[in-house]
Amino acid sequence: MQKNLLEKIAGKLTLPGIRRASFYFFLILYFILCPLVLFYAFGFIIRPHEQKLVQTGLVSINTYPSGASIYLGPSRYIQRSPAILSELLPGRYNLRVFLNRYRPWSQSFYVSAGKAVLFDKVLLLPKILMPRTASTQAFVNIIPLEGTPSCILVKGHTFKDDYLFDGSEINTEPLASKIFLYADARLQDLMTIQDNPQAVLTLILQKEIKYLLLLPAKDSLADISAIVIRPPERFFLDPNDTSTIYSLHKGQIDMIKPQTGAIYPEYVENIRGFGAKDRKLYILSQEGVLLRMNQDKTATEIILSDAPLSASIFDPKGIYEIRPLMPGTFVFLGNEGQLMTNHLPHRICDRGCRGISFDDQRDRLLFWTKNKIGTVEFLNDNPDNDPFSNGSVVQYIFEAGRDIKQCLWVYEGSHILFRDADKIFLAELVPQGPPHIEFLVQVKNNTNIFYSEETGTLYYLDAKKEGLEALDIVSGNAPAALPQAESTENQEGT
Amino acid sequence: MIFTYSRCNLDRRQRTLQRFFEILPGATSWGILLGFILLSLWEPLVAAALIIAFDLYWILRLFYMNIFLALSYARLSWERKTDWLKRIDDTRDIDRSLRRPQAASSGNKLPEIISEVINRRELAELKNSGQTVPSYDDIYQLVIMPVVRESRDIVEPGIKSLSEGAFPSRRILVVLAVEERSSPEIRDAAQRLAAEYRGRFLEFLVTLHPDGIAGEARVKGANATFAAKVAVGFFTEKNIPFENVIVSCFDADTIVNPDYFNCLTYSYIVTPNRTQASYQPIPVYHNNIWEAPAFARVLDIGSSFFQLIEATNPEQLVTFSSHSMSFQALVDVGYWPVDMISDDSAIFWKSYIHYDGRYRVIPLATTLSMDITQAKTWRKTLVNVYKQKRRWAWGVENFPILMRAFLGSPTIPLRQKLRHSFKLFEGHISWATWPFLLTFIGWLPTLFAGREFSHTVLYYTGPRITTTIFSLASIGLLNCIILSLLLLPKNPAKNTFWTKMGQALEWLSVPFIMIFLSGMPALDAQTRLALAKRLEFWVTEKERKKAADK
Repeated sequence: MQKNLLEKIAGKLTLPGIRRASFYFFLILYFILCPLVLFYAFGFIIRPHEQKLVQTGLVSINTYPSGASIYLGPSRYIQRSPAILSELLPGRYNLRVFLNRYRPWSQSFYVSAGKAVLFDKVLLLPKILMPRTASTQAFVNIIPLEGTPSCILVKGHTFKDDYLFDGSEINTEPLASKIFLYADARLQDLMTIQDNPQAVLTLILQKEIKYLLLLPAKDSLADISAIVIRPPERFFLDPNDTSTIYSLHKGQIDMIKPQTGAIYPEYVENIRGFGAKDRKLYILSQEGVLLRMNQDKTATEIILSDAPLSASIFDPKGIYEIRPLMPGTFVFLGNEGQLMTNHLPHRICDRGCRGISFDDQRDRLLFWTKNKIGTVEFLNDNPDNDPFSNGSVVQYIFEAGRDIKQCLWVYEGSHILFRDADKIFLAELVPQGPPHIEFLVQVKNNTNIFYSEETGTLYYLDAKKEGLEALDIVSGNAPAALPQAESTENQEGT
Repeated sequence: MIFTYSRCNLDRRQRTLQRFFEILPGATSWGILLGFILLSLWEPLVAAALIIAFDLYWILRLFYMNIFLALSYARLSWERKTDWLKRIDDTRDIDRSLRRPQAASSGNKLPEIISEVINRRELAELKNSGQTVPSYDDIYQLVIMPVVRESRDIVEPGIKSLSEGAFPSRRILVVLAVEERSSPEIRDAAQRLAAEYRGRFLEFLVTLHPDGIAGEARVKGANATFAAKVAVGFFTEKNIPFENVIVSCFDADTIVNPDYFNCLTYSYIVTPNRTQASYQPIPVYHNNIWEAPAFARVLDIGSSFFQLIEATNPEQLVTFSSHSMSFQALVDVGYWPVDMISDDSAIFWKSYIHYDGRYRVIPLATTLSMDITQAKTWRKTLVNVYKQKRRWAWGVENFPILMRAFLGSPTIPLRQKLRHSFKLFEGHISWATWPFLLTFIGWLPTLFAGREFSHTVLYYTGPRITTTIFSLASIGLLNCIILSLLLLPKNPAKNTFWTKMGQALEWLSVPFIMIFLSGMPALDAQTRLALAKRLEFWVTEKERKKAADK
């Protein structure tokens, strides 16, 4: 009986028939599933109570260290950081993160439909900071070497008291041991530039000025005094060219090649501004024309020739350091602390800018004055090719400083470490709202700090002991990768 | 329809059309790939949504194909025990056979019931067609084996299998079609083989295809055509009607299974309008399967699987590799194209156009075994496999000719034209683009994500959905692994649990194979066709270990 039935079924079925039926089945399935999956992908859910389709958003949180408990409003999530909390209805939320022995972290934010709010670099600070002693020796100051992972530890007033420190160990031999003739010289000045791994040191030895080129990575220190033929007002370095130094003297640039000993006096004349990057020279002429040319002075291009615009940007006197940050974006740093950019509104800081630092991962510029710290985000919102017509967003993240001396990008540009007088603070930049600012430590008066991005450690001189202290801000491995999104249903009660 | 199935000697309009349709597949494939890359850069949100829609389409199609792979494999295994000679005998008195009690009554199992149901359906169809049923004893087989540089080691096992099969070898004419440009050793070996095996067959001919015949390219089809013309003389002289001759054009390394010709003859007898059909077995690559590198083994098992799936869709099945057809049809359509590399599929399309769409391919529930491309070194094997797959992908050369024929044919129904042209076009485009989309381009929106896209929900849900889809795809892969283990012959060396595990793990090379030995050769072939840089016929290198080496 059963077999007869099988036979009848088999008799009715044909392969093309099965194939056709399957084809239509899968076709219908696709047309049903595809919109559903796409709706889900864009964050749409059906609200069970209202039977209404709504678009949700999500929040991604990644803390260092990981494993922190997450609270969103009154609900605690089973999942610990890093986590993605999805299917959040548009609205304001309060996110709180707790981890034993660490300071609690919270942030209020707004979730928009289809959008993700990212807190992807949350640094949890220990409730009690535990600095460790890196050296018990007493130091006078720290001189960070920008562009290198090293700093100079100053122990006394002569060059023989200066030691190189690379974040892991202090060289037992003073810098002067390489050029012992200058042991009694005094370190007068130091020129570094972001991303360039060398520094030009200016020393004074019995009223005579000497110039040394320091390359910490190669542990090399060379005397270049013989090829610096005129006392420079300042040096310029190309971040991507370690073979060339430019020195400024009365509006003229001498080009110096330390490795070959070649000198090109008065290589560029009558300048009001100068900069170099990728073996290209950027020159602001006395007439206010901004030019770019190859290092060998070929392929000259005019970037700005609009005299009124130039006059509105640059002051009539003074010399500007031109820093090309990325294609189409430059900043101009005047010797009175003027900070200008080619992006509108051009003048960021009329005077008093004490320093700048560029975060090339997020294309943001950090600048600071005595009392304020600000960031500049460069926009590319002008369809024309005019580099002076794009906009920028200037945002002040701290405006109550007493005497801001140093600012550094920390943890891949997510935080700013700054020294205000003798106090060190850490500011976390959050997507919405003001930054979180945490006090870290007090340092010896009028001394610098050194931060090693490689190890995530802050070095400073202790206010009382004057010894070198180390404080791990981001130490060990990077935070874990983000897991899959978790819906709001996956939560515990309050 | 009278149509010259060639790209040569065209008038201006036809030449323009030919170029347009030559460029179309390559341009479409590149357009899709570059379009996705650019979209990932400029509109990552749109690109990510399209990728999800595509991934979903792919997974459903994978499941769909897996169903038919399993069904087709089941049919193949069920028919392994079929007594084809008895089935042929049943065609002598169809009424009596149909009246006979069904298998269910005699306590048979489901596979046998299904096999018998199919058999009865075929007999009933033949009866309803009212056509005369040829006698088994009147059917002759013509086997043409083109040879260029295949040594005796490669050719002889195939000849031997022809003589040792269940079909009377005295009704088989074997033609070893040797190229004049072949080395003297190859030519001598062919003559020695003929002398040795002649007595076992109706006749064993060796033809020498001259080089440089006007209008011919150096392709296999030209050699086979030359041999077929010699066979015409033979059968005419023997007064054997062409409609009673089934011609099989086999690669030189083809070994037929003992039941092949009986299965083929049964299908030929029961097929109404039997002369207007090709007969397609399932090609398997078992001759040297345990000597070939894992990647080549997985790839060729994949080819067999593809053919198994295709066999379930006879309405759109196209001939591939070694297959058979009516000699009458071959003569009527003017033999194989003599200027095309893809002679296996081209002969189907040529016949399809000649008979105004009344030509089809009948899938055979039997296998033919061939060699996996192999060379002396692993690296050379890789290069050879790449070249072989590019030659297969060169089947896209049929597309422009077919489109010209379709545009000029008022007799082929429009629906059929659309179905065939879409399938051919879509098949080649997906061949060249899917591997890149699935393994590489699909992840670009996330990799290239700018600030704006990385702050959307889709940036987070997209990879999650894709990962889920890929996890589901492993079910399809598992099905393939199981079927491959069932389909493979026993490893003569050892067949332990660990060997089987090793064979299963070989399937992990699928992403590499997809990109480098499937997508890239196909894209290469389409690009060459679009740029009018035609492919020369490249004879696949075959290596088999001699018995003493094993």
